[in-house]
Amino acid sequence: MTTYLDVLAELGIDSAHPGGFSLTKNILRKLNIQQTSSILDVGCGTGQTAAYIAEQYRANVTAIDIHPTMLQKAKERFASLSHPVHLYNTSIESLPFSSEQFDVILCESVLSFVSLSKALQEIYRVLKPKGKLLSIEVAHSQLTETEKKDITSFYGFRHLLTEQQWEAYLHKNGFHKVQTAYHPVMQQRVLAATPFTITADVSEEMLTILHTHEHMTKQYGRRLGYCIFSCEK
Amino acid sequence: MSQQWYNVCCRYHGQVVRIHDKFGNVHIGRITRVTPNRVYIAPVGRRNLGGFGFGFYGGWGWGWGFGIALAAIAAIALIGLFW
Repeated sequence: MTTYLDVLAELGIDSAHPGGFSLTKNILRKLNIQQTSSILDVGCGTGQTAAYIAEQYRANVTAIDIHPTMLQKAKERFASLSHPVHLYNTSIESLPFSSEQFDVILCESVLSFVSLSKALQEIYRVLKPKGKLLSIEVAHSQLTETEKKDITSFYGFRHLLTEQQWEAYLHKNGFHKVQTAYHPVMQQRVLAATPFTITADVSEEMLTILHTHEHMTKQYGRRLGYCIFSCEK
Repeated sequence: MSQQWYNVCCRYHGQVVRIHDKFGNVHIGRITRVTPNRVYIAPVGRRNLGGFGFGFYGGWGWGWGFGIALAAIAAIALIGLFW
């Protein structure tokens, strides 16, 4: 069965997360990334963010994903770079890295799709002391249980949290200096949207999933949105 | 194939799109009308719409805009929001 994530992979959608690539670049600008910084991009997708950090900051970048199509597209992208990105086929729930290795970990619409407790434990483990976690994740405000169920089953989310719940999870897993901000989908500026292309070989099934997705984001309006959060180990 | 493009164009009616045709041409505009054979797009102003770098298309006059045969479409680029 084709899933929402398969559609993202098949269409090769770069920056498949709320706010798009312009939000990513804004976040990166505030991070003070140096050439000596070790960065982990979790769920790198087609690799746009990881490639940008490698080229722009010449930092030591590691990227992981588990979707075969995404990995293939990321691999092709990284092959053309002048600065390397280390790509691994691995899940955030069990990382093959030693502890206290990274200065910054980025998750762009990843934590909603995995076991949150396992992921946060692993992130905490591989972050250096005072290392930073930056994440952009789907969030909601006052959705009913039925609505939440409808959304999570369509997208394959493991959970759909409010800003306050995200914050509580981060505190619970030992993170400090937690800062969060919630943005409803309706406030998305056109500039923050993500370009994508439909070609002749996109199946009717994929187009239907795409259509359902667009319908859902409109249907729930201000109650569905995304949360940007940053915190420190 | 034209049927698929017909469905796609109907779904994105009213949105700004970039249509690539099979002859290598690129057409940018807002979908104003879809028929079983053609899609019509109207020019958009000089505004930055999601990094497409839309320029101003002049000289089309009034009406539905520019018609493109559905059978000639190779790809349609849009902008959206994804999780």
